[in-house]
Amino acid sequence: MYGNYFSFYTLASSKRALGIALCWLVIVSPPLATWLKHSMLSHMLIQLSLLVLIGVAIGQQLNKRYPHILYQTKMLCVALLLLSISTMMVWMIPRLLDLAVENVWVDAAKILSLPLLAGLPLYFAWQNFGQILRGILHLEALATLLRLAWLYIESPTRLCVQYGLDDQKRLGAMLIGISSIYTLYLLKKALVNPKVASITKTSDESFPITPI
Amino acid sequence: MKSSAAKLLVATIVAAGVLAVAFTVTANITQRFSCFTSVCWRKADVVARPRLLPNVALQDAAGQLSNFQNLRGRVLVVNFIYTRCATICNTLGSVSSQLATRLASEIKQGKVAVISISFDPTRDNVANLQSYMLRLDKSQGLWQTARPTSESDNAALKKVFGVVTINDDFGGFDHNAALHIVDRTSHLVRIVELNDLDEAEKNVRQLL
Repeated sequence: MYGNYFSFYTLASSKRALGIALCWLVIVSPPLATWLKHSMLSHMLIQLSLLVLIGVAIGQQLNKRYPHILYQTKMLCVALLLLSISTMMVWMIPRLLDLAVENVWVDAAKILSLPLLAGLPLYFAWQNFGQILRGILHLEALATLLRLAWLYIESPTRLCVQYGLDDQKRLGAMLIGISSIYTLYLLKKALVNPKVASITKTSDESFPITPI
Repeated sequence: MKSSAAKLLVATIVAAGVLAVAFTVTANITQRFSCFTSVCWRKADVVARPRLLPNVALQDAAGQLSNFQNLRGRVLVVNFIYTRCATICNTLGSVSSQLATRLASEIKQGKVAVISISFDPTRDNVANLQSYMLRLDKSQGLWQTARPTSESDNAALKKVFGVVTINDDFGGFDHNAALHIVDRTSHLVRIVELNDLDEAEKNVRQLL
């Protein structure tokens, strides 16, 4: 029985691992990657963010299979956070975005470093952080999105030689939209107290309202 | 207690190591934190490492063939255009003709040439170059226009000069526009902002 459960678990989890690997492969391979890199908006918002998310998903899977990693990285969580933030910052340099389009080696570095040096360390750092530090990081991420949006919308010149000014302004506008949704999410997180929510839920259950 | 202090020390050293690597990588990519865009980097790079131009054939608006080998011994001010362009290339054209007027005596002595090269040679034939010059030249023929004679030459030129052209939404191109100063040995040595005529003239006179 246990054996059955165990094999089912490993099967499901290796399916997930395969899914992550496949997703990684698909978004960096020619048909889709060429299309994504055609515009600054999809290159940054879709490909770069998905690459980081793939790293986070890898972290989740590793954590499920080898729970001791989390414990072992506890002391290193600040270093992991710095590694993650530095990697993301480096890929925000406009010149590197140009090079990722022009040069296959730089593109390969991007494909490998964003999941492994940004997403993965971010996951393990995040799991070790308390609520206050997480809150600060959320706010800093929101501020960075808005700073970038402001830069892209206001800049009179193109930041990347590979992308047009209209593309850059569209990206800025899109970032404003994303920041707004992010703000609402953070507000909900901050204002809706999970304890209160669970009390309400229990009381609902104890006094069920029968639909007429 | 002792082991936790040791762990803290290790954690601090690792964190400092991460920061040091990130700092070094970023410094290398950005010319020591001075250039975050490709345009800025290219400008600094040609000063540090002058680029030898390929000896590609050029055809001028009169249909005459020449190449960079023949232009050796002159200081060149080169910029890149396409003749259908309605916005920045018109500025480039008038900038070039103004600069040619300022450098009139040097051009007449054969020491300097101001050339606008088309990066769309398939569509920009000799007739298009002529009408472009007719439209924008105020320097009585001191400024020249030219086109590479093949797409492969065009690609080679764009690569050395670091000119990137992308299709815009209106059937034209977005391109990085600047004044490229080439010394008498056919090396690209300076890149000057498009609107900085004084700087361009100063650089040309220094190289004479």
